[in-house]
Amino acid sequence: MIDLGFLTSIFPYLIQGLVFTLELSVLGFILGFFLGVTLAVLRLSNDKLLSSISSLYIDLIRGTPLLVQILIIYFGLPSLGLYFDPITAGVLAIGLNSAAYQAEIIRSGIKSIPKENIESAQSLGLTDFKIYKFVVLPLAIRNVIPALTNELVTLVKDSSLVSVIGVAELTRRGEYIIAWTFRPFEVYLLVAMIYFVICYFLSKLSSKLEKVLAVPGFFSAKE
Amino acid sequence: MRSMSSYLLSVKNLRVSYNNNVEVLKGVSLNVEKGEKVVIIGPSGSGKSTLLKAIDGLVKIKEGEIFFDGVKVTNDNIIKVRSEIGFVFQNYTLFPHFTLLKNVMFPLQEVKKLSREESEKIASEALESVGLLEKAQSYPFEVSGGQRQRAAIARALALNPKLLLLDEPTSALDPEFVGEVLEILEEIARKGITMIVVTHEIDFAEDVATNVVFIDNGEIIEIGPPSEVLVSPRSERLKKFLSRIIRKKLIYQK
Repeated sequence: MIDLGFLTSIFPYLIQGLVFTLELSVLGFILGFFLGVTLAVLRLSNDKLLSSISSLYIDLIRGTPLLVQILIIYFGLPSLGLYFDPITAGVLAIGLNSAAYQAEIIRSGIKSIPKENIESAQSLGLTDFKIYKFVVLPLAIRNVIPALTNELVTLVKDSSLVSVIGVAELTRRGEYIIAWTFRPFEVYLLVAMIYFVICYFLSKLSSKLEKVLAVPGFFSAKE
Repeated sequence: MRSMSSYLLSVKNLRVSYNNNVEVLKGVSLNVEKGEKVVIIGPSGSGKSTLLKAIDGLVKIKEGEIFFDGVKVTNDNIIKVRSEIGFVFQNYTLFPHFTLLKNVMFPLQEVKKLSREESEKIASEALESVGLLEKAQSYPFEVSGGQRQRAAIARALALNPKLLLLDEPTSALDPEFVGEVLEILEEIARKGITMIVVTHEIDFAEDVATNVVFIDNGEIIEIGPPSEVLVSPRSERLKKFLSRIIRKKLIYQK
C-alpha cells in the first residue's frame, strides 16, 4: 500500500519545504525569546504601568488564535499601509505570538530563583540591568530550558498554519503533492514523519544543552 | 545632606511594614561607630534580618532615616552605599553558576571596575585568607556549607567595605561547620572592621561584640556591652530569651 519509490521521489520537494518550516519556527522562536525576556522583566517590574502593559499583551496574544494573528498581520495590516512578504509575516506572527508564552515561561524561571540570590546581587551595588544580565536571567533560563524546548517544538508544528498565507512550507508542499497525485495517506504520513524527526532531534538537543548548562551541584539535569 | 554625628551608621526611628499593615520594625534607632562590632539577638520574626536589609536598602522603609558615613541614604545613592557595605546572608549569598573565584572577582570587575587581572589577584588573596584558594575553581554547591559561607565572607571583604552586615551566617550550617565560620569572623573582627551580626551564637557575641542589641517584636528592648546585656539582662523578655538559648545549648552539648 505504501509505495517507497513514490515517497523517495517526493522527499526532496518536501525537504525544501522543511527549510521554510525551520526558518519560520527558529526565527520566530528567537524573536519571541528576546521579546519574551523583555515582557517578563516588564511584567515583574515595580512600575505598575509597564507591568500592566506587559500583562495586557500576554493576555491578548494568548486569548486569540495564532491563525487569526497570522491573517491579521498578512491581510489586515496592509490596510494600515504595512506590507510584509509571506515569510516575514509568518516569522512576525510566530515571534509575536511565542513572546507571550515565552514571557510566562521566563517569568516562572525568574520566580524560582532564591530571593537571597537576587538580594545578594543587589547588596553588592550592582545596577538592575547587571543583576538581570549576570544573575537573574542566566539562572532563570537554565531553570526553564525544558519548557522553552517545549515551546520551540510547538512552534515547529504550529508553523504549518503559515501555509494559509501561501508559504510553501512542509505542510503546504504536502498539500500540493496530494492535489497532483491524490495520495493523501502516504503524503501526510511522510510529512508527519519529517515533523516528528525534527522535533525528536530538538528534544534531544535540549537535554544535552540542559546538562552542559547545569549549575554544578545544583539544579542538575536528571540523567 | 550631612548629619551632625560622627557615627558610621545612624538609624533613626525606622519603621518597616510588609503588606502595608504588619509592622516588622516599630521605630528602631541605632548608632554604630567606626570599628564597633554590634551583635543583634532576638527571637525569630522579631525584625533582626529586616533591620539589616533596611540598612542596605533591600526593603522599603515606611518611616525614618538612615545615615551612612554621614550621608542620608536615598534611592539616588543606594547603589553607591551598597557598594560600600558588605552583606553575607544565611544562605545563597554566592551565585551558584559562578566558581568561587568568579564569585569574588565578579563584583570587583562590575562594581569596582577593576581590570580582570587585578580582580583575579585580589580575589585569589581573599580566598587564600579564608583558606579556600585550592577550591577557587569549584562551584558553590560543590563545596561544604561552611566553605560556602567562608567564600561569601571573602567576597564581601575583597570589596573592602566600610561596614559588614552578616545575617545569621551560621544558622543554615550543619553544626560541624559552624566553628570554622565563627573563627573567620572572630579573626576579621580583630582586624577592626565595623560589623553588625545577627546571630544566635551567644558565645560569639560575648567574645566579639562591643555592643549587643536585643530586638523583640520590632523594637530594641535592650542595648549595651555584652557584660551588661548578656550577663545581667533587665527585661523579662531578654531573660526568657537567654534562658531558652542557653538551655538549648546545654542540651546540644550533652
